[in-house]
Amino acid sequence: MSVIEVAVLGFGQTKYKTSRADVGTPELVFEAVSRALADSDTELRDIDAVVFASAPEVFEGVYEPERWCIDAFGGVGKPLIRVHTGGATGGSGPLAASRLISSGMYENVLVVGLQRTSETADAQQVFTTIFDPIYEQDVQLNVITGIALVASRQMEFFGLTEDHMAAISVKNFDNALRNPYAHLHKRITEQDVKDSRQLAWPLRLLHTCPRSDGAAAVVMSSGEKARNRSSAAWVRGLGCAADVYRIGDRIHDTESDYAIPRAQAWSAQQAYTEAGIIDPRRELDVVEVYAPFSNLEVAYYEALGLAPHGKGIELVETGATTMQGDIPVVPSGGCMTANPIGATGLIRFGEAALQVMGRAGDHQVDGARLALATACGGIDQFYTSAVLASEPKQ
Amino acid sequence: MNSDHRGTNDHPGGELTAPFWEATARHELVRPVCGSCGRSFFVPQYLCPHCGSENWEYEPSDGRGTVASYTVVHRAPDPRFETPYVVAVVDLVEEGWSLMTNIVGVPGEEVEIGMPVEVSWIEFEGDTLPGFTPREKAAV
Repeated sequence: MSVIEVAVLGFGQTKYKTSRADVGTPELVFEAVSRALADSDTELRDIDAVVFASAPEVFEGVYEPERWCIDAFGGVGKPLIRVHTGGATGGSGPLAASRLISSGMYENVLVVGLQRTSETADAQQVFTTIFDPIYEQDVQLNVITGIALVASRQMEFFGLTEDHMAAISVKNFDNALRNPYAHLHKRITEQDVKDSRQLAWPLRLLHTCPRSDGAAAVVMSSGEKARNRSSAAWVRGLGCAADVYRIGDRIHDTESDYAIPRAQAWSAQQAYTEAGIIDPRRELDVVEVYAPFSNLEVAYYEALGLAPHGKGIELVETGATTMQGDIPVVPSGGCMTANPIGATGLIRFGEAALQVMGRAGDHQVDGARLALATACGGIDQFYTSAVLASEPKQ
Repeated sequence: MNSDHRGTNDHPGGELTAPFWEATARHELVRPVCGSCGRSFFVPQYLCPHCGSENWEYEPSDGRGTVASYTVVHRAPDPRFETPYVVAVVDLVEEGWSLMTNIVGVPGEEVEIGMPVEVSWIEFEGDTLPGFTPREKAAV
């Protein structure tokens, strides 16, 4: 029995902004879906099933936004699955779609990612509610403070400095200047980063991500369909892993010690194993990592096997992950320059697909043939990884 | 610290959690200790996360720990909350458990990883929360 391979045929995304008040939510979804269909040269009637990826509804202004948007993605009469793994939602969507296709259930699956963060008054206030309500919320935690606890351990034990974090921010903002869809188009200097407002030491405003409205969509298909296309991004490996709930439980474990997110490492290893990747630093051409904070990007260099344990900062110091380096990370600017939460993982996946199809425009990495996309959700608790290639396995 | 505005959470009763909060009200820090493997754990849950035993009891903690990680928060999730304040994970070193907490009684810039601390009680709205404060140097 031959294995059913899976490929991405096309990707569509919206312009990301603090508020997309210029369109309603279904129109925002339609903007992404219609671009994905056009990019993949696919008709809506050819779509067999839809996976809808949208994270906390409290951001959306409506519950079950897939109901309101059903016509915008042509869902009537078709199987529909909603996925939600916090920030990792946009990574879980294509993962689910891939398995639906490789199992032989459906041939063409549309994945839609949506988040309209502008509909919430204060996202960080909402985020306090994701922590243990009995023993942890009283200390006034949120996403930023949770990640700041990672950053201070990276600084104490792995040599991370404000210089490294500033260099990451500058790299990602520079990359975003070549991505017309990015939310933030602003040239910044390392001094700007160091002068930006303190949020939770050692994290400053320019170490973090914006709150964005936006949607994204990909069309995925069986290898049989994809073989007839002039370009497709082939799904070579997928991974997915969850970690424990409480941050305190992730300190003093032997694998990560709450400085290197271990569930990201677990999920990446699954994807590498499935893809047959042994040395990710040498084999991968480009990485679209879901890193909403500059310190996390450095931690992920290690979790993803791009640098040895404790050596993530060396990739910053050598410029290896810039567009001129040997392993560019987030050529699109990444989530530090656009973060519609539930859609963000799907944007990483779609951008990685564009890279291996050679269609990433001004932020194309020359000759990219093998790419990694990740997603992260629930304060470092849920992770996905996907390896995409320019050629099929067989 | 403006205690009027912190915390909005009830601490539900029940055998699992009530003894912890009853103890804090008496200014006593307690922790679950497993009768099977002898290890401490936190937060309280029905089965010991180390060995799976349900044979555990609350025992007093010495309240002496070190800072495992920390951050100085300049923008509170609840905007009414007075900043800056310190969020930290503290290791109860001798007892082998840790908890998410606040460091109080010291400016944020003086906190560091590895700093010896001891429990210090924070009162608000009728609840008593365990915070930590630097141990007197003489006592270290």
